[in-house]
Amino acid sequence: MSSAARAITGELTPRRPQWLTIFLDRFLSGAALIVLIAVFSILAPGFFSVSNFLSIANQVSIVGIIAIGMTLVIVTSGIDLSVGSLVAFSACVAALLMHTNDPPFEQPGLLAGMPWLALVAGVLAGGALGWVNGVLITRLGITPFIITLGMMSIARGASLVMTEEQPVNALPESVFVVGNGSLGPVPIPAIILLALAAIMAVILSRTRLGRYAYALGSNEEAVRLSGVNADAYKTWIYVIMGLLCGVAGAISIGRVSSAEPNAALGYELDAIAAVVIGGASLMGGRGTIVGTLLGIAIMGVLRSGLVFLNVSTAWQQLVIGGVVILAVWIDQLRQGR
Amino acid sequence: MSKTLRLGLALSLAAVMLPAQALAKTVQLAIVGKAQGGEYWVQVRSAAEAKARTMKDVQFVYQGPRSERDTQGQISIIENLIQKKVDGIALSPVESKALGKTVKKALDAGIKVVTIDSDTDAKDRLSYIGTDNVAAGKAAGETLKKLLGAKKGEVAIMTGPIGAQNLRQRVEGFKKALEGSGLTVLKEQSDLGDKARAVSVAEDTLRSHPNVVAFFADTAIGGPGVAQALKSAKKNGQVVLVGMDVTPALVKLLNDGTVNALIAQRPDKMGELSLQMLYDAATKGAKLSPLVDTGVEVVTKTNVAKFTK
Repeated sequence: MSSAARAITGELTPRRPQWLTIFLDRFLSGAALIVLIAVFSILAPGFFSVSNFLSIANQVSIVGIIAIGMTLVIVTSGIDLSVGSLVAFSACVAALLMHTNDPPFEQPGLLAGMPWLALVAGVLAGGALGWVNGVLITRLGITPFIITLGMMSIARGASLVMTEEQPVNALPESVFVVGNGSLGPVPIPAIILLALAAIMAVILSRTRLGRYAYALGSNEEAVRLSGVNADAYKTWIYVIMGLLCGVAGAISIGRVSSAEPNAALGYELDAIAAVVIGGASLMGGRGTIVGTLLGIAIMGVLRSGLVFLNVSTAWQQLVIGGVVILAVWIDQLRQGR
Repeated sequence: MSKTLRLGLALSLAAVMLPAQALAKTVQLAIVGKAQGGEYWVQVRSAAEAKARTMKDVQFVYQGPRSERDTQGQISIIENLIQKKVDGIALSPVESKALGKTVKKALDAGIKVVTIDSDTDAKDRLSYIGTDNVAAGKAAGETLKKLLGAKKGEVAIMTGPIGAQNLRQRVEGFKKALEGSGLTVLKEQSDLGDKARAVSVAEDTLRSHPNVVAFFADTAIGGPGVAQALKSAKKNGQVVLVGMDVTPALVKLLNDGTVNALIAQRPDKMGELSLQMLYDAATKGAKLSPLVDTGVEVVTKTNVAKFTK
C-alpha cells in the first residue's frame, strides 16, 4: 500500500533524530508565542486571564479552521486563494436555505424548518466548490494559484448574486450557537477548531492521504511514476479544504448573526501567513498542524494584545506583516539555507 | 460576392446601426459606489434606479468595486466609463486622494462628475452631494452625551476602512462634541469593513477597558459588530451604543435595545439628487452648487417607524 510513499518520503527526509526535528520545528514559534504573551501581560493589565485566552481562541477560530486545511494544501506545494470566498459562499447558501419569512423575504427558505440541515448543506456547498477546484487543477493541468484565484472571484461573485448583494439577517437564532455558544466557559468555535485540528493531524500523520500529501509536495513526479493516482488524492485535498471553509462559514453566521456576501475578505492571506509562521514551506513537503496552530495563536495574540495597548489598526497591520517575514527568515536560518 | 449577399449584409449592418443611433441620443449616467453590495449602497442604487425610470432619455448604470478597500478596482471602473464616453458620473471615492486624479481625467474628457457620500481631497468635481460628515459626527456625540446623562467613563470609537475622508470627519466631529464633557475618548479602532473583525475588536476593547460606558460605531458594518460583542459580554443595554445609518440589521438592534440611537443619512436623496443634477449639467449645462448637504436625523426607538416605511 503505502510502501511507495514511504520510499519516496524516506529518501527526502533529512537524517536526524526525530525528537530533534520536532524540537527545532516547534521550539521557535512556541518560544515566540510565550514571549509575546509575557510582554502583553506585563504591558496590558487584564490581558493575562483565562477568559481572555478563551476569547482569543474564539476570535481566531474562523481563520484557524481555514489554516488547518491550508496546511494540507501547502504541504502538497499547492495553494488555495479561494478560501475566503468559499467561507462567504457556504454561509450564504446555508442562509438562503434556512431564512425565515421576515422582511425582505416573503416566503421562508426551502429548509426553514430544518436549519441544521441547511447548515450542513452550506458545508457541502463549500466542499463542492473545493471539488471543482481540485478537478480543474488536475484535469486542466493549470497551477492551483491560477485556478483558485479564478474561484476566489467566482465564489465571491456567486455569493453577491444569490444574496442580491445584501447580508441575510432573517435567520433562525437556534443555529447561532455554532458561532456564539459555549460549553461551560469554552467557546464552541474554539472546540470545533481544536477537534478539526486533531482530526487533520491524524490524517496528515497516520493515513495514506497524509503520507501522499507530503510525497506530492516533495516530488510529485516520483509519486506518479510509482503508480499512485496522484490526481485523485489531490482532488480530495481540495474537497477537504472546501468542507473546512464550509464549517468556517457556519461559524461566521453565528458569530455575526447574519450571512454576509462580503464576509472573510482577505482571510486567505491571514491563513497562509499562519501556516507559514507555523514553519510550513510554500515549496511543499513540510508543515505540521501543531505548527499552524502556533502560527494562528501568534497572530491572534498579537492582534488582541495590540488592541489592549490601544495601538491603531494601521500599526497593527504593519507589525503583523513584519512578524510574517521575520518568522520565515528565522525558519530559513534554522534550515541552514 | 452575390447581390443578395451584399444586400443582406447592408441590411444587417443597418439593423446593427439603428439601435446604436437611438442610443446615442440617450444621456448615459453612472453611479460608482464604494462597493458592489451592502445595504447602504443598495439604498443609493434603488433610489437612483427609480429616479432613472421616470427620466425617459436616461440610461443608468450602477457599479462598485469588490470591496470598500479596493481603490484600484474603483479607478478601473471610472477609466472604463471614460472610455465608454458616458455623460455623467456620480462617484463615492473609496480613497479621497487617489480617486482625485481619476476624477480629473474624467473631467478633462468632458464628463460631468459629482461626488456623493464621500468627497475627494481635490474638490474639482462639480458638486458634493452628501452628508456633512463633521455635523453627523457631532450629532452622534451630542446624542451619546444626552443618553449617558451624568454617567462618566471611557468612550470607544469603532470606525470603518482606514483612509476614507467621510469616516475621518465623523470621528473628528464626534470628538469635538465630546470635548470638555469629562468623558475619555479612546484611540479609535478600525474594523477594516469586516463585521467579524468588528466583533473581535469590540470584545477586546470591552475586556481591556472595563470602564467603557459607550461606543460610537460610524458605519453600518461596525454597528452590528459592536452590538454582537455587547450581547456576548452581556453588556447590552448597559453600555450605550450609537450607530450610523438605518439598515434592517440596525433597526432590529434598535428595537431590542442593544443600539440606543442611529444617525440616519439619506442615501436615497444622494442617489436621486446626483442623478438629477448630472442630467441638468449634461443636457442644459446647468451650473451646480458645489456643496449639497443631504442632512442627518437622529433615529431612536420612538421615531424609527418613520424611517422604515
